[in-house]
Amino acid sequence: MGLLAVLSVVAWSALAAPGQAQAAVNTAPSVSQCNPPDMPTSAGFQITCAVTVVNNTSSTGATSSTVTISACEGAAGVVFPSCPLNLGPVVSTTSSSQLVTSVNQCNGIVTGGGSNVYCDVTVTNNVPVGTTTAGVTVDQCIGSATGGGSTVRCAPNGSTTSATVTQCNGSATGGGTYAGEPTVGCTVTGATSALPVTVNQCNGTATGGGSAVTCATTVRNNFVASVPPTTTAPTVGSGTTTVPATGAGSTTVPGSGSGTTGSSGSGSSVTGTGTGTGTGSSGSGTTVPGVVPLGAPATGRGGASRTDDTTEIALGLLALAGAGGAAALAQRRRRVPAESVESSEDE
Amino acid sequence: MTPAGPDRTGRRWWVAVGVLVLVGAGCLWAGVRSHPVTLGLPDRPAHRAPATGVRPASAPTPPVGLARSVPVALGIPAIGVSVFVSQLGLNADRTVQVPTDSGVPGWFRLGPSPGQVGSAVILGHVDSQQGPAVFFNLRLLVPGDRVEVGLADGAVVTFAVTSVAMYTKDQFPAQQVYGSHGYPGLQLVTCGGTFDAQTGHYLSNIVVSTTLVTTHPSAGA
Repeated sequence: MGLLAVLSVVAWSALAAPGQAQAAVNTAPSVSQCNPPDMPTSAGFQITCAVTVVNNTSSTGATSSTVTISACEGAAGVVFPSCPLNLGPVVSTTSSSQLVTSVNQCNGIVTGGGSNVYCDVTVTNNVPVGTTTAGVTVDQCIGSATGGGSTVRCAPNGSTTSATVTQCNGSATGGGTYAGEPTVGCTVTGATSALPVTVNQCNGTATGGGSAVTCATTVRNNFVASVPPTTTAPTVGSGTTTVPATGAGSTTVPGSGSGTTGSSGSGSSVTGTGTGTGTGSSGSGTTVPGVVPLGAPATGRGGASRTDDTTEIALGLLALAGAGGAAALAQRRRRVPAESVESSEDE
Repeated sequence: MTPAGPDRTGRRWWVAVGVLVLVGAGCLWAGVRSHPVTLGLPDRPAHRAPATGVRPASAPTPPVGLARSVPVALGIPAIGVSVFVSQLGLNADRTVQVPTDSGVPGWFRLGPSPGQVGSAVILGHVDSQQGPAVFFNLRLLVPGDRVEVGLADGAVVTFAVTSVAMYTKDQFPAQQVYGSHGYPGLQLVTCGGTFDAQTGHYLSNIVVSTTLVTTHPSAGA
């Protein structure tokens, strides 16, 4: 009963404030992944994260969405899907009756230098014919790749406030690049969106020297004559979770980021030196590997690690009670002689 | 009768008072002083019959991997636990976060969710600075005890305890705890063993391993 009570409250809370779900890894209407602290902020990593959103609306107003996420963390140079630092890519698909309205990923990570970040968002809107669309506004690549020897490939350029897509701002500012990649290469594809979905990714990321950031957002609209699927219940056990490589990967140290802030405009390259190799092989098809944290969890504070000795306490209280009694008797003894003297003087 | 007789007796009483006060204070001091307690596993793990837990009304369904769904509640009837579940990630040093609330365990969200094929992990505190916490009695579970997890999608998945083990911190089997064993499993982790007052940490961890036995609604329903 207690568990049911807890569940009912949680269910209510989720309905009341669905966008505030903490995990939001794959819970509509917001999707958030590959941000600190789930991803490191230190040097020498290769991060590859992707979110694919399929939003559906029907002519009757019914809504549904499907979100597929993947996240891969390896030493710099380790390519997807070999992700020995988290045993392979975390991949999952979740369905919801709500439309996804925002995606947030790859912000403020691997800032130590010598890192490579690839992040993608693809949004597909399946909507009835005749649905109106809005323009996809862009705010990207502002204040990025400002270090010496940086290269920038961003398209389109944009600096719209509260844009539909905000990405690659203030990133890869340390100078140089990683292994010949553009220091910052970010793109937005798709001029209009039939449903409101905001994308916020790759901002303030990989700011150390010798890093590269490559991020893309794609928005597609499919105008369908028939009613699109309106699946509402999350799919259970039908194999939507895909698989991953349990990587028997051998990792050689997370790459060391050796970049330093480049002098502006000097043109000299500051090259990251992240290294790492991975040889993960494909998994069995259903296992969902996870990140393996370092060390052992500290789940105790010591409040129950000691106890009182009730016997000793009882003896102590008894002795003090005895002392009290003895004191009373001693006081009485002191009074008795005095009274005796006084009475003898009266006589 | 000499006049000094009662005085001498009175002095003896006062001496007795002093002695008793000293003894009493000493006993009290010793009594409330720290007496270390080791939160280890019971000597006889099978000290009681395994609980049957709460079974769903429908017939048990074969354990198959479920779709990912965030755990929101945890119930362990055998030790009276019925609580919300928070979510945990990694610290900057790549160690696992631990719950901020000693009364609320946390699910490690970078691994599988309970019911997915793989090892889902829920961590909880054994105690706070004030006293026992949510997983204080975790070490008392025995194989067969049931662990229920409520998921955000409305399903309740039930696991059965398969083992209860204690590992010293320096030998914590991270791969075994967090890595997949090829079936839907749930690992419950807390601290245990001897508390090191110098470091402020316990020297060991208790790991309760479970395996999925039923889902409600059943998978595929």
